[in-house]
Amino acid sequence: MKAFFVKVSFLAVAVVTTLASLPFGDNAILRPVAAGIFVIAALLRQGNDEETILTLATGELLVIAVADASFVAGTVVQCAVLGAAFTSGSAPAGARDGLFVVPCLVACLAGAIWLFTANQVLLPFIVMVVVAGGSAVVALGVQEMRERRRFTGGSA
Amino acid sequence: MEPARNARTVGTMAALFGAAAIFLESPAFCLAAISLLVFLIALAFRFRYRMHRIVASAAVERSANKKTLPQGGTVVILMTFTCRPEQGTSVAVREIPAPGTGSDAPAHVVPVGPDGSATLLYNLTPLVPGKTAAPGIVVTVTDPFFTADLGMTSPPFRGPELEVHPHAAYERARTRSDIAAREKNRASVERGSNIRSFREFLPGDDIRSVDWKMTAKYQRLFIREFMSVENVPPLVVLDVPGSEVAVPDAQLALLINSANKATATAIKAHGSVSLFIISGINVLSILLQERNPQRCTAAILDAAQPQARLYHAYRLKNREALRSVVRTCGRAVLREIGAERRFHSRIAAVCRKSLASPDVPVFVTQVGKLLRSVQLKEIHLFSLFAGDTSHLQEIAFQAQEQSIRVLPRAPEGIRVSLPGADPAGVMA
Repeated sequence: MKAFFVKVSFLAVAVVTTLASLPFGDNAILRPVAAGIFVIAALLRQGNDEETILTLATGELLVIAVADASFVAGTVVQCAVLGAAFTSGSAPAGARDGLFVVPCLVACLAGAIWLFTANQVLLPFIVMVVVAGGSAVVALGVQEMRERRRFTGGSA
Repeated sequence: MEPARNARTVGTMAALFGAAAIFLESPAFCLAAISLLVFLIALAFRFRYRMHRIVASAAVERSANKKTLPQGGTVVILMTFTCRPEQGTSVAVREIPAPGTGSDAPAHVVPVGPDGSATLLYNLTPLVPGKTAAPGIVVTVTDPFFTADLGMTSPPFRGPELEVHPHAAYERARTRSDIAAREKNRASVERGSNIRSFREFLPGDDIRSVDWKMTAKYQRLFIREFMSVENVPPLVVLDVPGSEVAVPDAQLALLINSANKATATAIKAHGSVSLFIISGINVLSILLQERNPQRCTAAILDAAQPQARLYHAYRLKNREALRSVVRTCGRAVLREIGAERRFHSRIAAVCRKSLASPDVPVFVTQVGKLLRSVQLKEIHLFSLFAGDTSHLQEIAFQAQEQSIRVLPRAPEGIRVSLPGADPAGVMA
């Protein structure tokens, strides 16, 4: 319970620092400080699901605030947020978690690069959502179908 | 695969950020939304990978306390599930109910322990004759973001196969020549007048016991030894409630305790007791002139749970009631004239025709045989008198016909009434 309060305090400080940086435009001190505080909070050992969601929610607010000023810095913070939420505070992740964290982060980076270099925002965004969502649904569905056939007496 | 609360929250956040990105055309919101979507997809793949590892390592072992049983009988099944647990996931397992069986297992979902094993002990009651087997299990894997069920019904997860023998609701009425052939080992009720054995005369023996025929044949004095006489033990009938009627556990416990106490008291007072355990018209156990109270207690405890009733008496023809109608109508035919006489005559003819059918409910035959084979003065009838009570009416009618007193017993607070029977007539 004590770790939980420490973590919430860190996250609160990160959010306040981010909000305080907003009036100053592309602030070179406050936002890196906020990002640092957030990363420390995210890496603190977590105990329950609520903390994961809290980390993710505050982290995304931070990402939006940072990316609004510096897209590259926002992408880096985004990777930190996802890594923290993925490993539930037990970083460094095990080898098996790494199998999923690394492709996830690579995909995020690729998406960010595309958004950064594209002339417009909406088209790449919609294409990414449709392609990523559709291919994931198909791949997961096929995998689940094969598993069900295998364990219900059919051939995989 | 279903999203859990966390995944739904993340999905909602992604949708909100996506909507904001479309309205504001902001790359920052686009980044947040697409990152959350990719995050969810990665979590989903991780979950599927973990689940695959768990189910691929799963093994089930089942053992049954018997391989062959009668329709409506109960078999105890012990199911042991083992798997290799994955960090961050919880696993639960439950049995898939076999078709045509009654079981208490589907209600139980057993969580798999940290060592990856789970054990489930349950009763299975096959209701349909033939071969039956547990069809498999359902494994539920849960992590903080997703949950999924997988039915595992391939051969390694099925079994064991049970052979269920049919239990007939009807049987052919026997002809007189069949009844004449009496079994030798059947318990005799004519004690006291039968000769148990002969032995040579010893000084002090009553000379009235000398068997003069044996003495003349062997030229030595032989005397007869008669069977001993004992009080007529009562018949304790325990009617276990059916599983379709909701019965409080306390009431059932009271009923079982009362019946057990009655058997113990009867053995103490009369030396033996006959026990007839039924659930509706389904006979669970019969003990004739039992002297061992522990055997009675074991039989009662075996049946001490709501039973799945294969047959119900209200579906069967009440032969005693039909005979009663025939008698009443026969008297009315002698008494009445005209249309009423024709009416009663017609009713009697219909009832006679129905009675002429050779198919007799097995329960009716069993009760008749039981009441005839054991000399009885009274029946202690333990029941909750809830739900279908037609079988109690059948017992009461047959007892009434043989002048046996029926003493209905029920736990406190339950109104005792034998349906369709005249209590005064039954008690007399």
